[in-house]
Amino acid sequence: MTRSSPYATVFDDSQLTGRPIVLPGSGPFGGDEEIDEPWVTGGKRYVDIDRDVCAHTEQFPTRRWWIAFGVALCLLGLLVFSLVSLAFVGVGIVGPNSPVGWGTFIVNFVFWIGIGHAGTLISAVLFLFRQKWRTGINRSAEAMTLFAVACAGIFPIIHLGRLWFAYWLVPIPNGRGPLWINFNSALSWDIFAISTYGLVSAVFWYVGLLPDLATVRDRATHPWRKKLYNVLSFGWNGSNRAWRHYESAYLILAAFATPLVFSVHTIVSFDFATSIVPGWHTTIFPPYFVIGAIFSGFAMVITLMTIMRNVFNLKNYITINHMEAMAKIIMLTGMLVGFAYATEFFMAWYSGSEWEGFIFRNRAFGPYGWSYFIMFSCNALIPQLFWFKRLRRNPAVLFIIAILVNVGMWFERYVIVITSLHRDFLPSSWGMFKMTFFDWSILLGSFGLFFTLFLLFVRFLPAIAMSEVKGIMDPKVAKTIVREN
Amino acid sequence: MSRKHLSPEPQASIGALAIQNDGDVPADLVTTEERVVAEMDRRDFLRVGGTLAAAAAISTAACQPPTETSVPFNERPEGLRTHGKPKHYATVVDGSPVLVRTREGRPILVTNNPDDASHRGLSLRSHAALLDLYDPDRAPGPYSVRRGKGQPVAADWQTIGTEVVGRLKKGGVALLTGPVTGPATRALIGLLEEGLGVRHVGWTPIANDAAASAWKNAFGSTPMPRPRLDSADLIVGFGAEFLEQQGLGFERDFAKRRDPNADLSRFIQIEGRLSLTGANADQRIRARDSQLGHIAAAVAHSLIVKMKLGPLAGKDEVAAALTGFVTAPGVKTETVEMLAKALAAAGTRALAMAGGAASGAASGVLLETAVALINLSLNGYDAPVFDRSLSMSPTTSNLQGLAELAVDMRAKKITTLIIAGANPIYDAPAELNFADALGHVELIVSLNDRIDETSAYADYLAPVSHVFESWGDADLGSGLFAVQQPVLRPLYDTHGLLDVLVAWGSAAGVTSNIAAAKSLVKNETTLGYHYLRRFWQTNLMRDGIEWEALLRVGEVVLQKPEPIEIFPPEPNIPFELDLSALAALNDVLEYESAVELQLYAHSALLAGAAANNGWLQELPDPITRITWGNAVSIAPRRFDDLGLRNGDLVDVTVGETTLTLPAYRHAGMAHAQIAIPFGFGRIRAGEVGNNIGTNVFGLQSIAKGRAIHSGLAASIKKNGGHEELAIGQGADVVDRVRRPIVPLTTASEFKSNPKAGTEQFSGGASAWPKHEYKNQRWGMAIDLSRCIGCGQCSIACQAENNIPVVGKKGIIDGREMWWMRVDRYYDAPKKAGGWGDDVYDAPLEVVEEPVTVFEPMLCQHCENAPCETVCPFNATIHSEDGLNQQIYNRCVGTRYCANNCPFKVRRYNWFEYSKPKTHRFFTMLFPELKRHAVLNTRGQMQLKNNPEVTVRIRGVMEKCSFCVQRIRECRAEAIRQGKDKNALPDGTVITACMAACPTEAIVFGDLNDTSSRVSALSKTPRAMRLLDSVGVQPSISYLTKVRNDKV
Repeated sequence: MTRSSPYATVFDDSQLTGRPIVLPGSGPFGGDEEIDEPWVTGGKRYVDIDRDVCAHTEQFPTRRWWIAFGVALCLLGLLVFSLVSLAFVGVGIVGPNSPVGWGTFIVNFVFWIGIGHAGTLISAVLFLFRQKWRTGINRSAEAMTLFAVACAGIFPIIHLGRLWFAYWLVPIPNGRGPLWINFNSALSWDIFAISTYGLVSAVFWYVGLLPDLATVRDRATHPWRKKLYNVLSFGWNGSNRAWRHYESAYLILAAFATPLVFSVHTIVSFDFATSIVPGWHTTIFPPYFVIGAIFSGFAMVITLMTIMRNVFNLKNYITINHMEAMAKIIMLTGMLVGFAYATEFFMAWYSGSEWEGFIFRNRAFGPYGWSYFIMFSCNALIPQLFWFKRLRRNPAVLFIIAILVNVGMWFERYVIVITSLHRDFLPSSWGMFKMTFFDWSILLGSFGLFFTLFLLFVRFLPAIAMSEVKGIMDPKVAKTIVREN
Repeated sequence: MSRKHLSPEPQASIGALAIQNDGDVPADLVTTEERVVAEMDRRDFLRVGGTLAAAAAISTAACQPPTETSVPFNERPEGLRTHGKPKHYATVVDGSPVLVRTREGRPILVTNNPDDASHRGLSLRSHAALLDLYDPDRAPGPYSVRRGKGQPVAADWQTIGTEVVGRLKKGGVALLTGPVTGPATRALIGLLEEGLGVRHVGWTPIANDAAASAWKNAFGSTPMPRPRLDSADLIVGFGAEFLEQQGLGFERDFAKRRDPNADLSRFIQIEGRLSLTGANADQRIRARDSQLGHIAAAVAHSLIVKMKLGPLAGKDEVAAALTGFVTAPGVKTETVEMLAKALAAAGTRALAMAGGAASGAASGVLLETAVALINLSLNGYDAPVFDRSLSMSPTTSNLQGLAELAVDMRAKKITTLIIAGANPIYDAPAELNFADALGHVELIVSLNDRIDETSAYADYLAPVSHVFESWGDADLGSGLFAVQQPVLRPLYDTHGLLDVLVAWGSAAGVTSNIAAAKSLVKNETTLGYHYLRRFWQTNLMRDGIEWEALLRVGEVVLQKPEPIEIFPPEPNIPFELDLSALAALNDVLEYESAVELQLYAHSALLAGAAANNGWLQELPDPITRITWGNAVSIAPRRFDDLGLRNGDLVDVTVGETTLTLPAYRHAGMAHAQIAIPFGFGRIRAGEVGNNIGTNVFGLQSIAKGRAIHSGLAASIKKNGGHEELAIGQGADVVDRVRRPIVPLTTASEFKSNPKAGTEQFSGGASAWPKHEYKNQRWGMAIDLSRCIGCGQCSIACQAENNIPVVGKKGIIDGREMWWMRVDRYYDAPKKAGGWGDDVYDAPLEVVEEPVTVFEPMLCQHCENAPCETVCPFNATIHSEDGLNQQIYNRCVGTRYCANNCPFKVRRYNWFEYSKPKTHRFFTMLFPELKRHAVLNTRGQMQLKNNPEVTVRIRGVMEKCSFCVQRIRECRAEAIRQGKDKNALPDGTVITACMAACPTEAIVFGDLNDTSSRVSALSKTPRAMRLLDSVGVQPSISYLTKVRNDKV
C-alpha cells in the first residue's frame, strides 16, 4: 500500500480508534501529520457505495423491514383511531384540565420540533463548518427532521377545541368578518416559524437528493422505475454545469437554513416565555430551548443510525467515529442544558419573586418531582458518561443513552408545561394532571407516524448521501481495485 | 319506569302555556264567573257535582283546563305581552319569597323579590328549584307502584281518587307530610282532620328538637323571639349554625355588623366541626359536641352564680342546679371565664346562640337550656338582641308523631296512608323500621313527585306538581304570609297538593270551607286555587287589598302580632337532663380509637330532598369543598395519625352499624370529633342523585323522643380502599406573606392602618397603552368582611349563564365550569419563612386552629388582561366599557388564555355539554358522555336555559361576562326610553351574583361614575386589586376582611 492511502487497510470499526492517524514526517515542514481516520471504511470504491446504498431501494424489502413497518403501521392506526375519537368527542378525552390547559399535545409538539433540529443542524451548520463526518448521516438526519416536523405539526392542530377551524390561524384575506389573527400572540408566530422551517428543510433535503436520485435512476432496470426517478431527479445529467449550480444552491440553502435552526425553537419557546405563567416567563428560554432541541435531535439521530447501521449493514458508511462525534455533541449540549437548569434555579432564587421561587421548588420537590428527577438525570447526568471514550464508542451504550436522552427531553417539556401550570398564582386553582389512555395512544401513535414515514424513506430513497460521501473519500482508495470481485 | 311522558310534546305544552299565562285574563272576567257560580246553592251543587265528584276527582287527560289567573310582578304595562321580554312572577319556594323570571312562558331564573318585607333572602335550594322543575325524573303522571313489586304501570287520577275517597269515608286514614307552613294548607289539613278524622303527621328529618324541648321546659308555650344578630355586639355560638342555611335572614343581619368602619360585632364560636358559621367567627374554640352543653352551663354558672347577673341570680334552686357545672370538660377554666366576662361586658348586647348540629347530641337539651339561661340573665330575651314582635320558634321534627304513626300502622289502626312530601324510608331513624310498618297498611298513596324511596312502598303514586306549577302558600314568620302562585301550567299530568286534597276531601264529604271552594268552580283542577283564594280573602287579607295586587307582590303582612309577653318569672329549669349519656360517652372516649360522630345537615342538599339537582350536588360544600358525595370529616391530627389521605376509605362504626366512607381532613375539628353530612345516599332520587355518597340517617338513635344525631359514640378504622373525592379547590392554605392574594387583617391593625392586609408586591410598569373608557367602565367591589362564603352567587351565576353541570368525574378531572367560585383559604400564620418553607400541604399548625377566609373568584376583567394578548384568534378582547369579552364564535380553543390567566377563572368546554352525544360506539367508549346528557340535556332540561345567553359549543372557552346580557339590556332599555345609555344610574345593572348575594357583599357598577357605590368602595383604603406584581390591574376590588380581635 502506498504511504498516501492509510485508509485502504481500515476495514471496519474495530480498526478505528477515534484518534487521528499520525503520519510521521509527512507534515508540510517535515514533522508529523495528523489526519482523520477514514469516514468510510471497508476499502469501498465509488461503485460499492452506489450498490450498498441503492440496494435497499431495489430489492424486495427484508423480513425485518416488514416487521418494523407492520409495528409502525399499527401505531399509526392507533393514532388515526385516537384522532377520530378526539375529533368526534372533544379534547376532554385527553388529560388537560383547569389549571393545566396544555397537556401532552404541547409536550409532544415541542418534543418533535426539537427532534427536528438535529437534521438541519447537521446538514446546514456542519456543512458550513466543513465537518466531513456529516456526510454519512445527513440524509437520514434531514429526513428525520422532515418527519419530526410532520409529527410536530399535527399537535397544535389537534389540541384545538374546534380543530376544524384551525385554518383561521392563517392570515389570509377572508370573508369571515374579515377575521384576522392576533399578531401579539406567540401562537401566531409559531405558524410562520414552523411552516418556514418545514418548507426550507424540505427544499434543502430535496435539493440534496437530486444527484442521488439520478444515481438510482441510472441503476434502474425497469423502464417505469427509470422514468419515475428521472422525474424525481429533475432530469439530473451530472454535467459540470449542473454540479456547479447544485453546489451553489446547496450552499445558499445551507446559509438560509442555518438561522432557522436557531429561530424556530426560539419562537416555539416564546409560546411559553411571552406568557405570565411563573416557570414560563423567563428570558433564558430561547437559548435553552435551542440547545435542548439540538441535544434531543442528536440523540434521535444516534438512535436511528444505530438501527440503520445494523439493519441495513451500513457500518462502513456510518462508522463508530460518526457515532462518537455525535456523542461528543450530546455531551456538550447536555452540559449546556444542565447549566440552563441550574441557571433557572439560581434566577428563581435571585429574582426574589415568590411566584418564580415557588414554581421551581415545586418542580423539583413537589408532586411532579419524579418527572424533574427523570429529566435531570437523563439530560444532565447520564450524558456525563460520555467523558469515557470507551463508552462513547460502545454502540450499545450509545443506543441506551440516546434513548434515555430522548426520554429525558420529553420529560423536560413535560416538566415545563405541566409543573408550571399545575400550581400558579392562586392556590385555590391548583390541580393535577393525569395522562389518559389517549394521551399515551397519541404519543405512541406519533412515533408510529414517524417510523412509518422513515421506513418508507429508507425503502424508496437513498438513505445515505452517496454523492457527498464520495466527495470525502480518499480517491486513491475509492478508485483502486482493492479486492477482486 | 315503563312510561316516559304522558303529556304531549313538552314544547307544545309550554307553548300553550305561554298563551295561557301571558294573556292574563282580565280581572273582571274572573269575578263575574265567580259570581255566577257562587249563586248556585249548595243543593244545586251537590246535584251536579255529587255523582261526578268521587269518580272524576281529578282528571285532565282529556282536556286542557284553563289555568287560573296568576299575576306577574308589576313591572310592565298592564296586560301587555312583549315577546322577548322577561316576565317575573312573585311566589314562594322553600320558604323563600322569590321572583321567578320567565321568558316566553318558561321559568329561567329564581331571584329575590325586591318587595319582600321579610328580608329572609333565598336559600340555595330556592335558587336551584328551577332545575327541579325541569327534572326529567319527576313522575310524568300517576302510577300504580304495587309496592315495588315489578315495574310500575301507568294509572290514572280517577282510579286513585275513587279508591282514596272511599277510604277517607271509611276512616283510619293518616296523612304524612313534610313541614307545612302555609295557613291555607294547614287549615285545609285541619278540615280533613276534623271532618274525616284523618290523622296528620308532619315529619321534618332535620330539626332542632332539643331547642324546642328546652324552650318548652323553661318557658312553656311562649313563642321564642327572633334573635337580632345586627343588634348584638357580642355573639357567642355554641355550635351555632345560623349561617349554614340561608333564607332565614340571619346572614343579612350578621353581615350588617361586619363593617369595620362602623361598630364591628364580635363573634366567638365554640364547636366541634368547623362549620360555615364557625368559619366566619372572630374567634373559634374547639370542643366536641357533647361537651358544649357543659361549657354553656359553666358559662351560665359563672354569669348567674358567680357574677350574679340577671333575674335568676340569687335563686337557690338555680344555683343548686348549676353547681355541677363549675368547670367544663374539654376547655380550660380560663376560657369559660373569658366567655363569661366578655358576655357580661357586652351586657344586654350580648347574644348566645346554639341550634346547630351539636344540639342533636344527647346533651342537646342541656346545651339549649344553658344557652337560654345565658340569654335570660344577660338580655332577658328582650331588645335589642331579641325582637319580641317576631317569633322564631325552633323547628321540631315530630319524631314522636312519626313513631306513633308507625305503631298505629302496625296495630292496623291506620289502614290508609297518604304521603305528601315526606320520605321516611330514606330519612327516618332506623329504629322506627318504617318500612316494616308500611307493610301493615292496606293502602298507601304517595303524593311525592317521583317514585322515591318511600313511594316505592306505595300502592299508587299520584304525583303533585312542582311549586312553580301549583298554588299554595307559606308562613314567612313575623306575621308575614306569602302566596305560592304557579308560573306555568304543569309540564306533566300532575296536580297541586291543594287541588288534590280539596278534591278528595270534598268528594269524601268535607263541607265547610272546602265545599264553598268547590262550589265556585266548574273544573276540579282549579279547586285548590279557589279554596286558597277564598281562604285568603276571608282570613288573611286586610281590607283594601286586591287579590291581583297581592299576587303581584306575592305576600301580605298581617297586623303585627302582639309582642311576645315576658316569660314566666321563674322558668322551670330541668337540669337533671342527659348527664348520664354524657358520662357514658366520656367513658367510651377514653379509648384512643373512639370518637364521637356528628351528623349534620348538608349546606346545599339539607336532608337530601333535592338530591336529584345537579346544581346543588355540584356546589362545593363551603368548608370541605367536596362535591358529589359526602365524606367523614376527621380532625387533622387524628387523620395524620391514622395515615390517611383524602379519599381513603374508613369504616365508621356506630353501635351495630358500620358504614364505609371516604375520609376527609377537616381543618379545625375537635380531636375526638368526626362528622358526616346528611343528604346523600339516595337510591331513588333520580338519575342524577342516585347512589351519590352514603345515607347516614340510619346512624341516628332515638333517646327521650328525640333523634340523636350528634355526640354518637363511634369508632373509625382505616379500610384500605380509596375513593376519589370530587374536590374542585386545589390547595387550602394561603401564605399571605408570600402570596398576598387575600386582603385580611384584624380590627386593631385596621384601626392603626386602614390599609392593613392589602399589602402586596409592587409591579413593574406596563408596556401596553392604557385603554380609554369614554363612557362607562364596569367594575365590581367584593367586601370580604361581608362575604360569608355561602355560594349563592355560584348557583345564581350557573342559572343565569347556562353553565353546565360536569358531574363527579368532571370535577375530579378538573373540568369544573363554574364562572364564579368561592375560594376558601386557611390563613397561614405570619412568619418569615426561609426559601423552601412552604405551607401548602396544610401543616397542623395552620389547620388545627384555622383562620378561614372566603374569596369569591370570577373573571377580574383586567385592564391589562393577559388572556387578550395571547389568543391567536383575537377571540378575547377588551370592550370600550372595560369588559374582557369572550367571543365564542371566534374561539377555536387553544386554551392559551386559560393558561395565562393568573386567576384561573376561564372555563373550557371539554365536551359537548349542551348537546346529547348518542353515538353508540363513542358513548360505549366514553360513558361520561351519557352522564353529561343526564346532567344537562335529558328530557326538557334545556328549557331552563336563559335565551339571552349563548349556549356554548364544545371546544370554546367561556368565563364570567359581568352578565353582559344584563348590561346590554339596560342600555337598550335606556335607548328605548330616550335616556342616556352611557349614564345609567347606579344600581341599574345588577349582575346575577350581586342580586343573589344575601349579605350584599358584591357591588357592581360603573367605575367612571364617581357617585357610584362601586367607585367609592374601590377607592377606600380597604380595596385591594389582586396581583399587583403581575400588573394585570383587575376591575374587581376586594375589600379587606377585618376580624374582630378585641379581647
